[in-house]
Amino acid sequence: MANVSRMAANQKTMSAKPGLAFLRAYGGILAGLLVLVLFFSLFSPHFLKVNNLLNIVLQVSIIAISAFGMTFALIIGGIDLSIGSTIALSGTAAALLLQHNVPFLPAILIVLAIGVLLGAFNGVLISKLHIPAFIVTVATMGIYRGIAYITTDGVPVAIQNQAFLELGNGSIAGIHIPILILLLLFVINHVILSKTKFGRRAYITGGNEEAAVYAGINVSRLKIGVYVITSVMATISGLILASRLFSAQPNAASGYELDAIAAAVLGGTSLSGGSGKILGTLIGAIIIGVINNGMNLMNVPYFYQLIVKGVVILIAVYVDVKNKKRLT
Amino acid sequence: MRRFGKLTATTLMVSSLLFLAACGSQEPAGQNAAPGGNGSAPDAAQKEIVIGASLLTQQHPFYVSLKNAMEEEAKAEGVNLQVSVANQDLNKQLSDIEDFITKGVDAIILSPVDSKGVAGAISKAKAANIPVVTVDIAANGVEPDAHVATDNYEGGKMAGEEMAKAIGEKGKVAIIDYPTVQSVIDRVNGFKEAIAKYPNIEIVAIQPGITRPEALTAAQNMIQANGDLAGIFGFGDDAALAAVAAIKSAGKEDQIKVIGFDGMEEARNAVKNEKSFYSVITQHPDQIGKQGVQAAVKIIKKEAVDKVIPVKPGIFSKEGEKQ
Repeated sequence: MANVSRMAANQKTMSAKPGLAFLRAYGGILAGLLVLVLFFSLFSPHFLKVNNLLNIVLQVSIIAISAFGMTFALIIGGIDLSIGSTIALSGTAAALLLQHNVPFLPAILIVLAIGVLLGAFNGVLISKLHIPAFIVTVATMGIYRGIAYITTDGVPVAIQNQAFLELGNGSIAGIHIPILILLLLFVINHVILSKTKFGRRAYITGGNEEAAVYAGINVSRLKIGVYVITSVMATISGLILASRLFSAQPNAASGYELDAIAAAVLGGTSLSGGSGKILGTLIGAIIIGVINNGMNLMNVPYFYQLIVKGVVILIAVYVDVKNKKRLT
Repeated sequence: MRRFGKLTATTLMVSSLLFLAACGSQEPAGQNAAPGGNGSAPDAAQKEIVIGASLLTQQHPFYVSLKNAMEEEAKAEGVNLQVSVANQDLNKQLSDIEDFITKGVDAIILSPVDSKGVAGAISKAKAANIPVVTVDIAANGVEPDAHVATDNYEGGKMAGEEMAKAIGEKGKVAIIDYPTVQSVIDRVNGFKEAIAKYPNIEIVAIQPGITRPEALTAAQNMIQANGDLAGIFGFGDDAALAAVAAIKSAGKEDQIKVIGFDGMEEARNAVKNEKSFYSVITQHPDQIGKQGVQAAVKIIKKEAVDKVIPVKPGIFSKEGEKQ
């Protein structure tokens, strides 16, 4: 009873009392972030420097942008495990185009178009052929990675194009360009998800696909759209990554899909669909970045870092499970 | 009910942070404790040297040995060495180096994940006026302050000489290659140079075999295609061990001899126990690690250091190690 009214209240207060709703939605995770920040600034004198904080957001930008895309896939009850490969493939595509003297802007546009195609391929297999998203994207994870290896002979491709290198290494008014891209994509994705019909339909589909079909939503078109968004976000991450590494690495970003999922889940996105917010995902990604950076500054040996990150993800999933219990 | 959930989560989080604090302070405290405990007065005046090391991986015995030697040498020199592991992810290596720059370490030692891709990280360190020493794998496009690595060309020549000895200076030999890695290219070139001196030895095949399964296929093909093959040179332990396995299953242990390169424990044992495994050129990761730290300390103290510091490999044969 109380749960149902709370759910309804949650949706109402979004417009009525945004401050309160904000706290209710993100209070827990923000508190967690605060605890981490306090903890690390206590143990490392370098942590709270402005430089380092920018550093964290810079380091996190690639995961965060991919996680924005992953949030869409998770909201409709899907998943995209191919984004690590998509990141690698978009980087190698860009490097190869630039190597063949394609100018910066056309190269970027071509790579983004490739990103659309990769996502549409996932989406069509999932929505038209009804193969489970997990299976489709495990398969395309291999396929996209294979293409990245084949086109580069498995060897990293160096990038010399100055404009492209600015993408990951330049800054405007003292702020790194990847951070600016991150903020821009944050706003765009947030608006798509919370202000558009497409966004509302994604939530409805994730909450109850059958109901969505009966409500007249073209679910398969919606799914294709969602996987295109996921893939394009990964593609943009791949461009930034290649630029930051001065080269395209065909073996780059393996396992990043799991970091993206972790960021989204930490931010409150449910793995079973129907809920999730871009802001939550951003905070989730920053938490992962803070943990990585903080442990590095504290000289925690790498093998222990793996354990700590695992524990944090367990906590997040635990909270997710608790939340769900509360809602049913 | 909701409160309870959050409370439990917070408790879990706090306890995991305590665990983190425990294992985080272990390493540096172990090193810091000595100067702090010895008497603070003399040490306070002299600033402790901090070196950050970013290693490619910790899942290969070569790099474990490299790391151990670095830590030993750092201890001997009274240097605070902080090691991070890139786990073969260049992006992580970049982040690790950015974090070292944030910490303001006095020098960075790194074994690049990729020669081409590491340029950005090295430029960043240089922009922050932090000297960089590369170990094992060289960087392309930027010049570090020093590079310490096995003299692969010399090692390749040694391998060629060993091959000539193994097969009585005549016959057909094949090479299992990793054609995209500079260190392996140097090895193979050294090998070819040494073999060129023997007119009766002919190189009949060069095939890539990066992982052990790939190398196994390559070796099988070579044996199949050349019935009178006399020797196989494997660019690394995996390639050589794969060749040994292929020869064994072809029943040609009396006919074909293998020379390897790297010389980790598994390969050394195989040299002792496998008839066809004649010898292995051994790298000395411990020497590379030690000299890497020494070079970094010298650079910090503004002493002169060679730009390239080659470490001569050794030979491990059935009689054991010889230099």
